[in-house]
Amino acid sequence: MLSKFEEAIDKLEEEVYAFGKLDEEAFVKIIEAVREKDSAKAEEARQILKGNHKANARIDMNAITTLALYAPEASDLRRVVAQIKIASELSRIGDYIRSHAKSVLQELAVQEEEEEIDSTRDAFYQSTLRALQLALESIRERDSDALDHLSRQINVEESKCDDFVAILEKNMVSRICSNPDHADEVVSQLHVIRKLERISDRCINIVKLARYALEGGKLKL
Amino acid sequence: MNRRLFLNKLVMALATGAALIGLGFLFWILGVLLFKGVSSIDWSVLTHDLVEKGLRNVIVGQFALAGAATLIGVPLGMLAGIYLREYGGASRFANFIRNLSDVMMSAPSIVIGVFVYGILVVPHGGYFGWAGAIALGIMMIPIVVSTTDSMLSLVPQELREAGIALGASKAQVILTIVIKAAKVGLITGILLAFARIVGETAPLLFTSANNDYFTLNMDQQFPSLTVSIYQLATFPDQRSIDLAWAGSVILTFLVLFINITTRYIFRQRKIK
Amino acid sequence: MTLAMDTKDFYFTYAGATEPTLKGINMPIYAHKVTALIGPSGCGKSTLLRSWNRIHDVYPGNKYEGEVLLYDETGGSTNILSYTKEDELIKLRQRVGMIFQKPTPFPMSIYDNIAYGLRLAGIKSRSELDGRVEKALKGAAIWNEVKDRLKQSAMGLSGGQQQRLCIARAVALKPEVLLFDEPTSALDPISTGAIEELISELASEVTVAIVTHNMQQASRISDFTAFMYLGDLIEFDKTEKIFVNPKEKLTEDYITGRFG
Repeated sequence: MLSKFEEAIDKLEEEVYAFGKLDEEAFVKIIEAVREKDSAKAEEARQILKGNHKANARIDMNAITTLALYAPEASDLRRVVAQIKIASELSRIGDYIRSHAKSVLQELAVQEEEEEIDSTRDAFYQSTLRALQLALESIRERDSDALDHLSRQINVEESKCDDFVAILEKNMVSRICSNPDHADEVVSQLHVIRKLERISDRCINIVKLARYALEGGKLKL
Repeated sequence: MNRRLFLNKLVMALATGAALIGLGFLFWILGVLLFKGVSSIDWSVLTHDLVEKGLRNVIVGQFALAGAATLIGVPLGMLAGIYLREYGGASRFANFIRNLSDVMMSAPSIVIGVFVYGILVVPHGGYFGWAGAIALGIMMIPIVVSTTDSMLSLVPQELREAGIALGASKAQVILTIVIKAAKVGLITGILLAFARIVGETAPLLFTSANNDYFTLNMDQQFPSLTVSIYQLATFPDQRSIDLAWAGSVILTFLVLFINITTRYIFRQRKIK
Repeated sequence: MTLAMDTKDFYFTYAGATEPTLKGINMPIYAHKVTALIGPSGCGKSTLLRSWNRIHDVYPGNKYEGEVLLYDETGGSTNILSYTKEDELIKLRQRVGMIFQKPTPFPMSIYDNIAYGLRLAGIKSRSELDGRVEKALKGAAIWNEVKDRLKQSAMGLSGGQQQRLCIARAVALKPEVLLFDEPTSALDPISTGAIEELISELASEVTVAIVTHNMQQASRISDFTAFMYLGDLIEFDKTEKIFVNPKEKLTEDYITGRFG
């Protein structure tokens, strides 16, 4: 294919990668906010993701233009389509992170200073972050074996996340039982944790899309 | 159904028969020539002049006349052909010239000879070589015009446009590109015209006549192989008649040779 | 963005025709950009392209109306339709080169082909010719394939090589504008790709205008696209705009293949 097309598709992948990096950056800020009980950091996280949807629309527009101008086929076509869908997944992830930032802000407002962060919750965050980072790596990965490896690692993190969420749910249920007055807060926290769990699911989708771009086959998410 | 098959076979048989008859005559002529003439050719025929019953001077003379005719006829013919194709195109005037040229090609050669006799030989006071060359040259012109015209028309128009697009003038395009592209065809045309006139007799009869002695001076009567054959064939003595046969064989095979090699070369280049 | 050429209210009538083939064309050609002319057969795109180096003048009797301005580096412009002397036309064609649909190598050596235009322009010094021939052949991405047989006939090259030779020949003159008239329609897909790549690279040094009946080619390599239909300019815009979101329905119908 024309070198102009190569440049266009590389640029698209860079944009999507940068878009995903914002998600990572914001999530790191949230983890720090929770650990250090620093509301300012949670607010920063929200700000980082403020133009989320607009950025996604820009990426979509660039991809459409690339399709219109170069009419790519086969693996070239798959690459462009994969980037469109990956951007969409990253945008959803961004939404989850943003709403979690909001919930963290609320949480920090009412929390007492001495409470330690739940170690399970921290581990959950770490796994989710790791899954996100691995997914971002897969966006630019061109080697089939490396993608395979990434895919397995993400699956590991995702099942860890499932386990952590199960434990957290159990803990929360027992907290509700022992402290019925705070039931509402705990339920909404549960709600948010479940949403966050979907991040790792979407990371699996991202690596599946990256593999589809490289290897073809059926697109099943 | 059977009628159709029969008709098929009948037509094929008739066509093949006609072709064979034509070929038959060709080989008959060549055969008779060879038979009658080859025995008369020996070394002395090629080393002695007509005065000594040899053909050396007239063979050389014929080619000299044809060569001079080429120098006269080809430049005129080519320039006219270039005019027709490159400048005249399909205009009324150009088509008129083309038709005129075709008519000239079938003009009786003896008429051309008489014409040159009237305008050159009479004022000159006698036969001379240049008149013969000019008569042959006049015969060459329509042939060269026609082949130049058609060979140039085979050069694709885009080639000319490509030259113009680089900033060449029309004349430059013609001289440096078109002529080069048609080179092989043009040379073939010249050679074929040469082969045509080298065997002519009538134009020479009243212009350069003949000369028994070896000479390269074209201001006097000039030796000619074709005129010699004409004259020798009417002499009563056997020696002359034999010489006429010898001359005929030589002339025939020379012309055949030029024709065949020209066409062979043309086909070779075309295949490349 | 600076202008390399500007066509204003341009009408063109072929010799002997009753109606103009081009009807009031207004169109810019931006410098160092690739502008594509697309449209169905008979729309006038080749006619317009060929007006830009006045090659129509090889055939007498054509009528021009309007203006076609050619700009130089200082920003000054001349109306090329006003040229009447052969001298002026020759200079025009040294500034505006053309490559044709059928590759047209001259019947001479590869070296002489490239040097043809240079010699016409008065360059005689052997060393200068050598240098410019090499540069032109490199610029057309064909140097490595022919450097060892510069003295051999150009007729021995393949179709794609011949076309690149023609491009080198035109590029050697260092023109300001290069006009391509369906340069790849007679070539196989691999040669087509090579030449498209070449055209994209050339744009950094010259301004390119290309007529193509292949819409994908236009969308791949051009910065601006002009859509023409029956002698009118229907739409002119950035290529992205034309192929993603054209303004005119006629353009949309053509691009989506609703009519050929």
